[in-house]
Amino acid sequence: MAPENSQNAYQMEGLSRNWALFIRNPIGKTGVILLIIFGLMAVGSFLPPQIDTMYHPMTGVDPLIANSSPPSWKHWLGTDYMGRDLFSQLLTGARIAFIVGITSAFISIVFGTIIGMLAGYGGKILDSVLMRLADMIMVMPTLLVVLLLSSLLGQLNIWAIVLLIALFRWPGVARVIRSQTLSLKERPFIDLAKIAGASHFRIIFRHIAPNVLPMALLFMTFRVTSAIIIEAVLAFLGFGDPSTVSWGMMLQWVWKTGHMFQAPYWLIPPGVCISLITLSFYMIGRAMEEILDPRLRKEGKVD
Amino acid sequence: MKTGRDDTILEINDVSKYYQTGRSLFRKTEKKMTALDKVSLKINKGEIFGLVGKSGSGKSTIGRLVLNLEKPDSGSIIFAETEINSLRGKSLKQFRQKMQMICQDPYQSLNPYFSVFDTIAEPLVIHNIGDKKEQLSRVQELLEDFGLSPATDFLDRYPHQLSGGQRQRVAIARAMVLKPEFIVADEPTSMLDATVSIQIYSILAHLKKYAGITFLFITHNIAAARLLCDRIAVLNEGIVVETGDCESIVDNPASEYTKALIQAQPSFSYESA
Repeated sequence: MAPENSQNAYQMEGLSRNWALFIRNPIGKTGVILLIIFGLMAVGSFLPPQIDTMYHPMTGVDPLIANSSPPSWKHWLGTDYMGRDLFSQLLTGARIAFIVGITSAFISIVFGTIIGMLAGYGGKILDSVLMRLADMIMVMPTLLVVLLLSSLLGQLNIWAIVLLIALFRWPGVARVIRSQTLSLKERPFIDLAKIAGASHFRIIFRHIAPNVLPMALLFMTFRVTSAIIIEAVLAFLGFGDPSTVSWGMMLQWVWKTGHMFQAPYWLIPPGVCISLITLSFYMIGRAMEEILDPRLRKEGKVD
Repeated sequence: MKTGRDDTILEINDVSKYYQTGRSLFRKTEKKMTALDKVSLKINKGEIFGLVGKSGSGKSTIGRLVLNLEKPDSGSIIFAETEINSLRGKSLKQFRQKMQMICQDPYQSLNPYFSVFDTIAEPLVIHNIGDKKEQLSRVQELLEDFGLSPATDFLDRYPHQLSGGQRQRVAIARAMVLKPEFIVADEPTSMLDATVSIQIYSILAHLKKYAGITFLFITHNIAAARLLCDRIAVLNEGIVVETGDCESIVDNPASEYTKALIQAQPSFSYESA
């Protein structure tokens, strides 16, 4: 059908324009390139164990090596204290970072957006209750509470960690979405929806939600950053999921086995990866911010 | 047209509305801003009733009260023999089918994420009227009626792809989709230029004549009221200054305020001022 095509064409046009703006921004470009590299690493993490079981990041041990060895052709980044391949661990770490970062950011965004919209739209009592709850969680030191909980509950698996991080990271999102909702609900199209007989549910999810979604997506990139860092810290402190390898856990093993100053090939890669992946999400967030907020765009650079 | 009790579709009785201002933690006394002070109006079936006044005179507040978006602090509003403030649930939803609104600013009154089809069909979806196919044909019919043709070109457009006049036509089509009895038009042309305004006025006059819709037409433009309305009420600071036949008020204004409103009108295109 012709009109459908024109709508698609229009949406494609809008998307490609935004994409052009995004990629022209050096910050956005760097962020995307870095992210693609990490994405390839995460996808590639499935390969080494296929080649040889000794490359399995957790269980594979090189039968000829009994302690940490420097990089070689056989082990590109060397091996850890019991002869496991560090390169393979690094690749798996990228996968874990994506899982933790994106899922916990996604959960916290969903929570935050829904609670923010309810608070902003509901007003009065609901608003006060939800926002005081948000304040309470916001002032809690996330890391300390998560540490306490994990020592109470015993070893946490990776999904429990994801959920805990998400539970502590929604209030910031909720605050921003609430303030957007407050201004949106005064707009005439919301009144018109009410006049047409729309339910509160419909107004919140059909009218307000699409309008706050760009802001929520922007926040998601920043939440990914903090989630990855929290997971890394937890793992480094020994509260990670023992059944997987994450970059934080690799760092913990370096430190715990006393290789901190003996094995730079072991210490540096995970550290650099943590910094770069958080940097890449942060950069993407900043570039998206400039597209969402035209006031931030530099004059003359656009159009 | 005969006038009598049976013809009254909307009755506003002694309605007052206050807004609280200047309330703070340390000052317990609240300042009350009076938006409406014991306003009484009667609107007959099938007429265009004009509500004229400068900004801040409370005319939009009357519109909001009539639409049941806000509740009056005292007084009653009776629409089609029912008191509208007591409506809940099912009866409120039925009321919503009968009364619609056309807004002032067509740039603000359409959801930017809704296509023209979604915008116009939304009331049908809410009230569960017709299946997708019937909704589509109803929307197309309305688009053609209001001069947006061919309709298929407009169905999938978004508000920012339309001009101001086109948006206002979409807004009118949406208001008409449920075949309402009563429409509140809150300064429907104040954001549009003169030629487009005239087109919108003629659409409203047409709807009154052929669809039998009663309008509450809110405006600060007394010339537009003269052009369109059967009867008008002049409102100043929440008080009805005078009510009556449109022509007699414009030609022989009783109050100073109405005279001032008429004089404030640029008389270039208006013969009798």
